[in-house]
Amino acid sequence: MLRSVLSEAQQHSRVKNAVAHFLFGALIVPKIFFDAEWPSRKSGVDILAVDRAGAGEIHIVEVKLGSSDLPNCVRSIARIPAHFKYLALFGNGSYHPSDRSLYAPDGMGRVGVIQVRENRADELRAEFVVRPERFRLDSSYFKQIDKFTSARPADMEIRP
Amino acid sequence: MKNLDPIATQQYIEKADHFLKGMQLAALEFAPYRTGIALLAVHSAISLNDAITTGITGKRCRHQDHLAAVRDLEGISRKHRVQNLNGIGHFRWLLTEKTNIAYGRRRLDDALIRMSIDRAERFHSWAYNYFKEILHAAVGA
Repeated sequence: MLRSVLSEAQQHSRVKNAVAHFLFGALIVPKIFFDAEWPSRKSGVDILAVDRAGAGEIHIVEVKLGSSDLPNCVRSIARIPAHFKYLALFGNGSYHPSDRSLYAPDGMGRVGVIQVRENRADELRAEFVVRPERFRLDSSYFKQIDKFTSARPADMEIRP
Repeated sequence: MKNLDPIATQQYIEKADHFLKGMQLAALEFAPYRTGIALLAVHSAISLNDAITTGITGKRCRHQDHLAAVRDLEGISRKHRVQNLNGIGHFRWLLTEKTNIAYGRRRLDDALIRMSIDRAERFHSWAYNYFKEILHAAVGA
């Protein structure tokens, strides 16, 4: 019901929040950042999660509402450096990602797909439609993610 | 910080993960698993402490006296100039409650169980924040 009175930007943020909550439960005490400038200031991702309070693997999520150009989105996500990559969908019920587009060219890594749905109580629930597979990532990104996590406070984390 | 036994560290991290995730999963339903949740919280911290200790010293902490393990972790933390010692407090609290949780005759109250979850999660966060090099190398990230 609320959905109809929210702007697209508000709805996008609401879905981001639901996906972040979902990832927070799936990972081990992650640090989660919204609208993160990753891998550089010139580019960004909707959600960046670093597992194990910043010591673990890098996860990125792009959230898409409605009928965006989803095959193109998958290709863009696949180019972002991370161990795990996800496309989160809301209101794209008819989209079925082709298996081939989700896989890394070398076969090492598959983009995960998260479907977000709203129930009758106006609550958003996220679930995997396609589970992700780990991508290969150059070790130089660990230094980069360490710099990132030390420079910016996390939006979601368990305080030590 | 150099990890003296990354394989053993990884094995303890894996155990800690299993206990922590078991705790979180059981906490979703809570009532049927109350005591189990609290005990999993304690063991998740013990295993992660074993991961740190093994990584740094090459030996697992084998004290029968739980508080000796806390003192060891505190010593390691001070030696490595860890500024934030909150994790020591979380670990001490969990180990102090262990006997009550596992063997006490009284029913545990909800507040204690929820506190166990909170302390365990915060201990994990503390450990990964302040022993990053040791645990990072072991998880292969």
